[in-house]
Amino acid sequence: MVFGGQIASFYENKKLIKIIMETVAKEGNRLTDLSYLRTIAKGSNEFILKLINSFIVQTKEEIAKMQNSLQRQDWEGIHSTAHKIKPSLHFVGIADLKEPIVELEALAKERKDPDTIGELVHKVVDVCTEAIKELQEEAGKLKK
Amino acid sequence: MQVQKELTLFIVDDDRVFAEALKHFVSDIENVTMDIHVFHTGEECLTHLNKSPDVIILDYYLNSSFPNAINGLEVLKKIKTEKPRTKVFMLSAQDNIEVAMNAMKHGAFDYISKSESAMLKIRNSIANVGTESKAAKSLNKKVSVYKKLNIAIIIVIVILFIISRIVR
Repeated sequence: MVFGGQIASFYENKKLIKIIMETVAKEGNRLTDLSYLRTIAKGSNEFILKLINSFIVQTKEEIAKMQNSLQRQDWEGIHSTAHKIKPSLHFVGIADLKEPIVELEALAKERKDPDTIGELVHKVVDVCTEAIKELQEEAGKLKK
Repeated sequence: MQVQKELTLFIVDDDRVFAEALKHFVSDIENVTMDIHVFHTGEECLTHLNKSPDVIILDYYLNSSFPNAINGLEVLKKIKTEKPRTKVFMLSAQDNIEVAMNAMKHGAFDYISKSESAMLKIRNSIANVGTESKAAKSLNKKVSVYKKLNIAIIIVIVILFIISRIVR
């Protein structure tokens, strides 16, 4: 019984550690980093909110366009959208897309390696979609 | 005591996030009163040139949202034809020497890549233009006053000459 209790306790601890690790990993691996935006904002939360909202609206439109362009194999459309969203990714600190977006822009411009272009478009869409969720949470906190 | 300078600034960029961020970041340059207008197409910018902007921050690629919209280079050419004294800073999301050379060839005052330091570079450039612009405006005002004074002196001399002839 005592032994069984220790096993139960061991598994509970392991589960607890797993939850803690996941939480820490989640907290530490945020997709967005607003430190640059805060520098530009010079203390204005109103501006940060405005820019987050503009980013969300613009990026939703652009990633929809990008998916559409991929379906139509419109490489110029993909190049144009990648070029447009590249600077704004920097404002909200999406470091995960720093290199992929440059690669996507270049490949789409040269109209080569459609498979890699497809993979990169999916990556951009997935990361931006998750980043938008984070930013919506951040905007919610700022409104309070 | 520092004199407050006045500057009309146009920001022309179809990237709304960048345009809004830039507007906010340059709006409080010391000793410069800024009248800032943001346009998302070159066509909009061209229809407002009657506001005589001192500086225009113009994106090179303006047709990502509207494929038929005119691009930055075409807008630059039209600005330089209508307002040759307006300083145009060409922006691009990539460091491309060809784009830069093309812009400079057609009268851009400078070319700025939308890199991490772009905001600061643009802010400093506007601050410098603000100083030049005020100095130029002040000089133009003085020249205008001297011209008026010269005309007045000539008129007085002519009147005196006519009076002297009549008196004789």
